[in-house]
Amino acid sequence: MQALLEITAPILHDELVEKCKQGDRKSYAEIYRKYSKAMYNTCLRIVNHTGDAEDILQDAFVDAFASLESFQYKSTFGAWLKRIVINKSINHLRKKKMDLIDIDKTAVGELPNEETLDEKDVQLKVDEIKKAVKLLPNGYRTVLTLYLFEGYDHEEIAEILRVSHATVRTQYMRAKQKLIGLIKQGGLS
Amino acid sequence: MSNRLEQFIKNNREAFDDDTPSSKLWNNIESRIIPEKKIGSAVVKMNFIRWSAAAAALVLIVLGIWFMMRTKPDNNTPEKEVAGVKPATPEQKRNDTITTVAPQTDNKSSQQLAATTADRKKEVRETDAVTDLQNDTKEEMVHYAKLVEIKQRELKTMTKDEPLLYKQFAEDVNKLDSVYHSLENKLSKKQNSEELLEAMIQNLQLQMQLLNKQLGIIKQLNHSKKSAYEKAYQSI
Repeated sequence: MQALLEITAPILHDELVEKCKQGDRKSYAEIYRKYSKAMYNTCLRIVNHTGDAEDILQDAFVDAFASLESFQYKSTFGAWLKRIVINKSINHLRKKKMDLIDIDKTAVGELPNEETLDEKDVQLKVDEIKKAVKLLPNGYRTVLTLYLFEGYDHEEIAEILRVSHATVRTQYMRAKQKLIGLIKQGGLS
Repeated sequence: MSNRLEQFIKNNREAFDDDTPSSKLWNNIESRIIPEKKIGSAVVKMNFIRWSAAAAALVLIVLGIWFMMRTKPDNNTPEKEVAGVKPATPEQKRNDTITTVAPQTDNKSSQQLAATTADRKKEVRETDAVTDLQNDTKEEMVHYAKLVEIKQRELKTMTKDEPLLYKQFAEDVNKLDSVYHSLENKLSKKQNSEELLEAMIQNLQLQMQLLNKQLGIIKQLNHSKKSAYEKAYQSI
């Protein structure tokens, strides 16, 4: 939802971004300070490795600063930058030949329904959820974080991952089911 | 479907972003961006907005010169010429009332032999024709003014996310518009001035041409922006 709100809100000219376009050193540092933490967490959730996430973040900022001319306020600067970070993170997974789509062999063709999700008994805590997300396989984790944390809808995720709409939907349902299961296990142990 | 998880994450979204990147990361980034910028900053890059602004300014200058050259002689002798005497302009060709007046004025020499009463009658008819003409020109003017208004509205909606560009465009149109209003003031002082009405119509036509050019620029700009965005996303 967050990204969606960012896109629909009227986009004003960002003074900081304009200063960066003119090559102002201080503004570059300011932009980094303003966005680095959120972007790092977004990246880390997808690649699941702190060293890789830092490398990707570095590349993303350098590339974004180098292609500032192509940023034309079609979205907010934050949404634009986030998309760069996400694309780089996903490309990183692709390069490592990690599966972007996971097939749960025990549940092929079956969609989890509301009862099997059984969210109601689960105690939700930020730390527990974070831990459980890290344990998800790459494909599930990517779809789940793009939807739950970055606020993209199924259609946008399908476009980013270059898969079908339906794939995103089933992947998300399964990812969520698995996540709830992991949280439950974590809570018991 | 139960959305407890979704709701919980939405409510605690900030708390999930608690990891921080290494502090030396910025130094690495800075060392990679500064040298590149120094090379690039010496030359003024002509991007699409700058080009289109330059094009709009050029169009305005050319139209302005042309407009001034056409209106100057008219200002010197505004009342001497009446509608029928002036050689055919596009409006007159279209206007039925003028074609009926024109032969009468052309045959003036033969009519001079006629009695003074006939002359008077003709004068009356001529002034009738002039008021007819004025009504027609006024209709034409209203028509153009409406078109200009529609174009302006269209331009405004299309330049929503280009406030700077819209400001420049509006300035260009406003220059023409202020000329139009000064003509209007002159007209209210002097009645029956064909030249003024014609100048006003010409002004509105110019405004329309300018707005059409600006709309063209915006359409092109939006198109290239869209494709640039697609490219940026794919390449980064």
